[in-house]
Amino acid sequence: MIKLLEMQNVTKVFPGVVALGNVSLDLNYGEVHAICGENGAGKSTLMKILSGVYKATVGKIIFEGHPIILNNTRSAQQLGISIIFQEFNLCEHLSISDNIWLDRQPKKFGFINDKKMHQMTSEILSELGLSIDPRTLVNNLSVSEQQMVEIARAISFDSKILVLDEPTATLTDLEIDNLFDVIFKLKAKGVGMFYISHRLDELSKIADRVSVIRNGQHITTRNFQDITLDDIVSLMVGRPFADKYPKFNRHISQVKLHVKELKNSTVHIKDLTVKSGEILALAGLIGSGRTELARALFGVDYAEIKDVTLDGYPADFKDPQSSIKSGLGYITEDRKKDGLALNMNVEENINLAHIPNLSSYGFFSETRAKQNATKYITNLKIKTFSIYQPVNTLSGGNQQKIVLAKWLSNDIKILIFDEPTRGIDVGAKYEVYELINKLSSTGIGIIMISSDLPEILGMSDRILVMKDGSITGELDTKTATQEAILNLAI
Amino acid sequence: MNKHHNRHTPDLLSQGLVFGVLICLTLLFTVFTGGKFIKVTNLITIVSQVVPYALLGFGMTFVLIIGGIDLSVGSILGFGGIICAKMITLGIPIWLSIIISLCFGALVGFINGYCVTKLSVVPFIVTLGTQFAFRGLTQLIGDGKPVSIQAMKNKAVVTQFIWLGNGEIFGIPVPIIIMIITGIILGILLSKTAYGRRVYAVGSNEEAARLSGINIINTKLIAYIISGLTSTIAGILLAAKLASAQSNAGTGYELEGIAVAVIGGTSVTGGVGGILGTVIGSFIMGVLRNGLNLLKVNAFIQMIVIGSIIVLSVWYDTHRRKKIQL
Repeated sequence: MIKLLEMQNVTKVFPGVVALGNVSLDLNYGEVHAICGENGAGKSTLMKILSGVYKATVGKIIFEGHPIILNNTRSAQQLGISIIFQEFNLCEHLSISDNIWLDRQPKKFGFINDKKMHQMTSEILSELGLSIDPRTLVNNLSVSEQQMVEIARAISFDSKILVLDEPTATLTDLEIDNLFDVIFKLKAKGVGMFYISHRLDELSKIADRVSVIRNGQHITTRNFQDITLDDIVSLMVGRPFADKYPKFNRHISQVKLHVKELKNSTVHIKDLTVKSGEILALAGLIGSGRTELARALFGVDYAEIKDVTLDGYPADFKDPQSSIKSGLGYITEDRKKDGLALNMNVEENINLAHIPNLSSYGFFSETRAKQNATKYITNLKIKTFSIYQPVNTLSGGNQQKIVLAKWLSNDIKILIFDEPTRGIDVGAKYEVYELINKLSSTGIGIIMISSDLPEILGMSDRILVMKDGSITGELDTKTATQEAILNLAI
Repeated sequence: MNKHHNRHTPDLLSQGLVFGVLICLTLLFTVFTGGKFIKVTNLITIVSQVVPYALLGFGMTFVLIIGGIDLSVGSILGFGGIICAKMITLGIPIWLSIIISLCFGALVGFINGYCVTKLSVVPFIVTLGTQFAFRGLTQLIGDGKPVSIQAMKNKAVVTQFIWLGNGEIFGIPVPIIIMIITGIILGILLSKTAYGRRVYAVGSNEEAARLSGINIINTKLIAYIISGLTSTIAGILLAAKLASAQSNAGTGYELEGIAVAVIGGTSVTGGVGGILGTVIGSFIMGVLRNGLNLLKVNAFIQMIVIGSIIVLSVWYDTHRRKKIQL
């Protein structure tokens, strides 16, 4: 039987680096083929070759039995190969319809036939279980809705092959279920899909086969039912893998932070406490107000805050400067957007929140800055050639450690993590968890926002579930279940 | 210079390249003018001509690095000059007149900064508007006419003020010395101080800087104030040189201010740049102007050449950055 797609001995060499060495994969009609590997393993490079973004240095691509040459994404799309990238490629100021049918709008007498276009869009959206007006501008959509628009666009090409690169990273569980329904429908139509995800547990619901890539090499391809998740992880990192979450005995003591009331247009909470050495998880769907709470608490967004005490003393969180002075730290959800100064180097980023501490009489001490940076590079095992390496050349895990280092060098009392392991590979995740544990052992109180329920159950001590900007329930992690959390969240 | 201090300034390669361009131009003009170009007197002329551009460029460097732009520098130049001259004609001592005009320069810079930060109007529009407004203010003060120091009865004051623009210390013209001192102070401010760090951080990622506890508003305000100050210094020096403050002085100079910074490697999108680059950029501009003049190249052709060079240098910068990102 003819395969839908075969990639034979694909090699990609970048100046100085072999990103992919001799990788061969195939895809059957109506199959979901999961690709697993750590960040930087070469998954994305492989998919970019398939979708025409990169050209393979060596190797053949055979599509429905015919060798093909892909010059650009357009030629791949015309053949029926579509890719949904991790990062969005949407025009924010255009409507959903305009984005989906960009440059191929239905026309009438040479003019765009808006009515028909919106109707076509509605059909695709309803297939995805979405009831949004196709005329809505993309910048009015939530992140997860934007993700669905990306998926809708890919579907609109009537693709035979669909590449999904971390499609669920920003979706809530409900939306993920919708997406999986769509995937099943597409499977039934014979569409073959490559599926990349760091959330291995979701693969078991949809994947037929799985291939593991490590350091640009193809390690194995197996039927999904013949392999366990733990085996996949071991193959990805190249060593046996014991546990996803490090074991740790916590010493939770007195109340560290207490907020009597916090209120603004999006959130309203009462009596928030975090104890010393405790990890408090904030669970909830996207848009439930978790991030908004963190931002308000940290003083980024305005909120009316009543009676805040830190270590028993009144504190002031009116803007980020005063929050930092009081001992608050905030590790944001989106490193690239508001965590790192990407074109600055490792040292500058680590010291970003300490410019005053590293200066005397207004003069910035390069020597002390260097010492401080070196200390955290060693302590956190940040992999970098030098402290002067630009951070945009580092992997996601190392970038996250740098954001963390930025706060550690302060005299921190409460640390807020917003999605601490988003977009980080399994090996680095474990290290981040260990760091979080280590921090809590020093008496720091930790607030952890996460959409990854196993992560919440594996790491936290107490769980607050949020919905519509307020807290709907509190759970003890020891007795909590995913279902219990979801019941409070929906 | 310690290479680490140079890291967010345009990297050594491109800085070296810009410096190389300067050397090449110098050699080229020396050959084509039969050695006239490289004479000490001519070199001093070049540097003297460069003074106002370099001063505007220094302030512009700060504003560009924080991710803004200041189109009002030319008007502030005229404004600073006319305020200073007016004070002096009113009998206020020169030193006090200078201090007062610097205060006014800082104030108009503050107005720019206030509109950009507190009122959140985009810098391009704010400074386009104030370019008009400050020029109008200048014309109003001068009543549309130059304010002449030369015509004053107190000849001692006239001599002193003229010395500022035309005098020499150890054979070096006073304006050049003032430019060097300003350059050194601002260079240190940008590369060695906590404030300098904040400037790069804000320009590199404003949101990350804000969440790291950096006061974005103050950082930006100060950058615009610095730009107001350097423009005023340039205005005073120009008035002193001519012994008269023209109410249209500095018209169109924002182009030069932006050009010298950009040619020197300061990024128009923020986060990257440095004073040393701006100095080199100013010299390239000066050498080009002077060399083309000596070669008697048509003034209109000169405009074409200089305009093209600005675009070329930005193109080179973006092109190189793209390469690195891949």
